[in-house]
Amino acid sequence: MSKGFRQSQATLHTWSGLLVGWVLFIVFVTGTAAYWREALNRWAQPELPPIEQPARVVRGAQLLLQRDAADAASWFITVPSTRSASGSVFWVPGAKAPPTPGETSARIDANGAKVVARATLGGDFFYRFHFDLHYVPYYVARWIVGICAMFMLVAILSGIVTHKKIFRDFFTFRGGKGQRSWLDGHNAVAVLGLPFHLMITYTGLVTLMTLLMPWAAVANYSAPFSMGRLLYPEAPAVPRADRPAPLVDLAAVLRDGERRLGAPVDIISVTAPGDASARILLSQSNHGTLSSLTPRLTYDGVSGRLLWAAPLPGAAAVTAGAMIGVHAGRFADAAIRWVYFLCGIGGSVMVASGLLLWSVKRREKLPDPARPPFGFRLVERLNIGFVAGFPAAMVGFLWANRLLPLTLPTRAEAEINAMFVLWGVLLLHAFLRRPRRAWVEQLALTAALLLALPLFDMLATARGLPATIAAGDATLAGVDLTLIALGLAYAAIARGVHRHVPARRRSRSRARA
Amino acid sequence: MTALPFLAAILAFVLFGLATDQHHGKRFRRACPRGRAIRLRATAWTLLALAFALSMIAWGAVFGPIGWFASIISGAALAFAALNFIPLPARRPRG
Repeated sequence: MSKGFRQSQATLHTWSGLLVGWVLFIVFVTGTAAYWREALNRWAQPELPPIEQPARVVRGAQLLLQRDAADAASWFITVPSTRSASGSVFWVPGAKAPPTPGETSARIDANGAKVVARATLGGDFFYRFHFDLHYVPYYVARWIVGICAMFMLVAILSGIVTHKKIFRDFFTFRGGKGQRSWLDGHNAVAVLGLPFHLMITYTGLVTLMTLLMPWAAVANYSAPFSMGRLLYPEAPAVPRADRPAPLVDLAAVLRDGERRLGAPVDIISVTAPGDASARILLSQSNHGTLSSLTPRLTYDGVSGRLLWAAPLPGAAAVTAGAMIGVHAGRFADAAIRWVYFLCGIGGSVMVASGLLLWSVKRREKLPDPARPPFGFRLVERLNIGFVAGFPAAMVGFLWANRLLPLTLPTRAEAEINAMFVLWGVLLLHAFLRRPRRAWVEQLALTAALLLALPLFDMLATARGLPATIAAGDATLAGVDLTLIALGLAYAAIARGVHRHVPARRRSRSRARA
Repeated sequence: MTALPFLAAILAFVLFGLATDQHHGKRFRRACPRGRAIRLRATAWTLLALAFALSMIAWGAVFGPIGWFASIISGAALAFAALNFIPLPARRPRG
């Protein structure tokens, strides 16, 4: 009975893992990179000075909005932290605006001036891709990612059952033994990071819960926006007074709000700016708090007096907010962030080694290794194109950030297209070359791209590694050092695959000799 | 301060690893005696409890448990790497 159950779980583990493994891998890898979203944002715009005083950015944002969007219906200002690349503003044009208004958003640099820098999504791209993918409508992408995450949860739980000696083999690794070593490696990254893998998969599903399981929300909150209003309460709306009145200094309101909240604010929204009925809404930042559902304050826009504070959210909302908070790790200090990042790499290696294990296990049982069946070849080639090709393409995205002309129209989109073109080429390459050669070439390409990037920055920009170390800029130096470390790791893996002699083939050639 | 829970967790998992016959045998050339295994594991559990207390001090009540898990995962991974990949010291040939 127990053997039958374990066998059924093993089958479930194998197939639930394989079917969605490729999508899971790219979701895992981009999610892992997204833990350095802000650092990559800074890296992607090396022209920008680092932010030292966020209030200065807010003052600049207010000046710009008062000049360019004085009649707007509302303003939104993101308050940067010292880790951000820049602040940003966008506005909703007012009733007097022409039907096709021009620009309605801008980025603000550390000095409060409008950003003049290369157009790029930087680390934000990996963050969005992690759940929105690309070239598909976001709700379709979220369904795909959500279903894959459900399979992942099934694969993790059935994997725990399948693993016979989870505690006895906890510290076991038998290297150089073919399938045995692959299984040990797969088990090691899975078991050592198990708390992370379970947490990240479950809380990932929680972030999409109202999409994946909308029925409770639909049944209980049938009126449009009623659930949103409950989750994100706002001060009572006031009608526009149509009486001009100067807006209070937002930096002063920000200071007061941060003192009351005891935490930084990351969004300021202003309704009816320049009108006597102006209201300022401050939302507390996720940095330094676990729940992603953060408190909010409303101020009178003219007097700067506090009018309203959001009531404490209910226990269920805080639970969901905390789960989303644990998933995104925005609160994390350097130590915990590094563990998140390394666990993300561990999770990617777990998915990748699971995918490879599928072929490793079957290769040994092939009736004719020279002519494997179509399914086997498809899996083998897709493994190369995804596991080796996708990370290479991600580094290609970073290269596009450096190499595309700065004045290129729709430059930010072009960077993304460049990444997918490279990935397409590598997928094709995986199908055309002999598998072993394709692995070595793609892994070596990734290593070369990673290692050359800091070198290029040293020669072509003013923010090369020596300069950032000398300036004590740990974030930018950290990005370069991480790229180098990853490059060396990829080079070692490429070398290992290149030199590897499969045990079976070796014995055969010996027999032939 | 944040380094302490990590150090305690690394040490805990090295002790857990050495309490297994496999790694005890590899490092000390004999299977782990029962009494010693119990002592090693008890010390390791104590260290994990200490890591929890240190995490609560380092990160506070809200983030402490998360920091504790972070130190456990790191400790387990580093101990795994150390036990499996640090080569044994060269042995003197026995006369």
